[in-house]
Amino acid sequence: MNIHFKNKTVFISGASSGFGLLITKKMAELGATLLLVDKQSDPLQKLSKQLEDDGTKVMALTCDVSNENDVSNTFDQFMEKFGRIDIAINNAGIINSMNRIADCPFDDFKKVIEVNLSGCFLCLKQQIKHMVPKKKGVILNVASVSGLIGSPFLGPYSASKHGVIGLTKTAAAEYGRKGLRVNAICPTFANTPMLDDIAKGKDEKFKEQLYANIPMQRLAQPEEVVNVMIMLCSEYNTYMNGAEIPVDGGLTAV
Amino acid sequence: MMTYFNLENKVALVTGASSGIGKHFAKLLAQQGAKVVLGARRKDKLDTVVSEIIDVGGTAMSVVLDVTDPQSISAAFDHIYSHYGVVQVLSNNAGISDSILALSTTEESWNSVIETNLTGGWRMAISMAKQCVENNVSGSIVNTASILGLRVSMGQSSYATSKAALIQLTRSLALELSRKNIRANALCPGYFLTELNEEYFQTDKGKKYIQSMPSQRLGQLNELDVPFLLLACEQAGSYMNGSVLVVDAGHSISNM
Repeated sequence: MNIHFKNKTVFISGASSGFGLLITKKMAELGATLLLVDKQSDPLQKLSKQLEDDGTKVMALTCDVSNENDVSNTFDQFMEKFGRIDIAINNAGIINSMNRIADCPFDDFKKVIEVNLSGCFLCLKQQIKHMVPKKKGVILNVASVSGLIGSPFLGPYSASKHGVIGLTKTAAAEYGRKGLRVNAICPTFANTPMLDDIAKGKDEKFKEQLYANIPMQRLAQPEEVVNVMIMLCSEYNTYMNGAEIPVDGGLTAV
Repeated sequence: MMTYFNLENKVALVTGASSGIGKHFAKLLAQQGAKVVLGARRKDKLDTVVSEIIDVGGTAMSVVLDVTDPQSISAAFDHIYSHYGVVQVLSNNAGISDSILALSTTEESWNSVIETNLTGGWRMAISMAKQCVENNVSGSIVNTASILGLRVSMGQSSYATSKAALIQLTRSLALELSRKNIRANALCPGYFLTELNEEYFQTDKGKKYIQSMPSQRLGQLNELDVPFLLLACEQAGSYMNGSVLVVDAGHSISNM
């Protein structure tokens, strides 16, 4: 079993940091042609240049996934250049400032839902539209364990990720017959910039508290999550559809 | 990527290895370099599979194993230990079903399904984990459950209950064994084509059932390879523990 992505065109959102950055680099190593989007223009273009210098075929566009026109223009440009999307990884996501629901500003809630849930919806629509005529396609939504269980202080984030899982299962049920596979990966926090964001201003104990309830008693290494993403997207994994795949050290099992 | 699934020098034990999914997993583990022990009640059927593995350069042996008999299990582990060493990958795969409506199910039928599918899996997991702990090595338990451990269908009350309980056992083991460096996960296949169900799926009723599934096709056994290895191999699924991996082409998210 030799897993590679040669001759595969792979879309990745939120490509310039965290899981997105790591999966982008892995996919490049494994031969994929990359369609990258991120809201942050500078790091995205820098990444794109670096990948191109290393011999990867890549198109990188600045895109706000919560903006319908932006998303539709982006996919039009990708399709014009490459004519196909074989694999899509909907990874772009943000987290709210940590608050209990009663203290959570409505604007925070709306913002998180817009990016994490509406953004996923808008990208899914485009991906499905372009994959169905080819009767083949793989979509992996990056949800979270917060999409499976309640997450104190992360109400908007948890709601958005539960929503992503609902979209995943529905898309799987609707388009399984058309040859699409749509799944959701549900990681815990790993050492990524998103974790740094929420840990900002907190002491060292804060991170320890995050894994206090995880049976494996540690956070994930980003690699451990991204390796699973690679295998889920591989062409050897052909019967998994509508699944939620926790990579969580046992957190949601207990 | 090959290295993620590398099992060289690891001892892997597969129960229910004489046919179907178990036989397939035994061959797959051997392909990844594991020393594979195939367990089932009938040695003659196992030895055919063992020779098939050895013929293509793999390492394998058979052991007579009845998961409903604690003595048979302890003898098997002793035998494996003296020949290959400590079992670090366990594929709990022995399973039976008795398709019968709830009101017609007898004590005997119920008990035999629960005894093999649930208690047998429990005995195997505990024996394996104890040996790992005693020898201070890591381990991975992959329990073959079923989408019927998550959903129900007609005439499967004992089977569905046994598989649901096997999933809960998996989670409990994940919680308790995690700090001992042993992972436990459950695989929930949908309907895969095996020699056991081939006949049914060729009948009109069987064909009609397939048409009612979202993907309108049965799974092929090799479509379980990546999900199974993800759970079995340390380097692939190192942070997956207590997970319930559904591989069913969307069958369980729609009407069953």
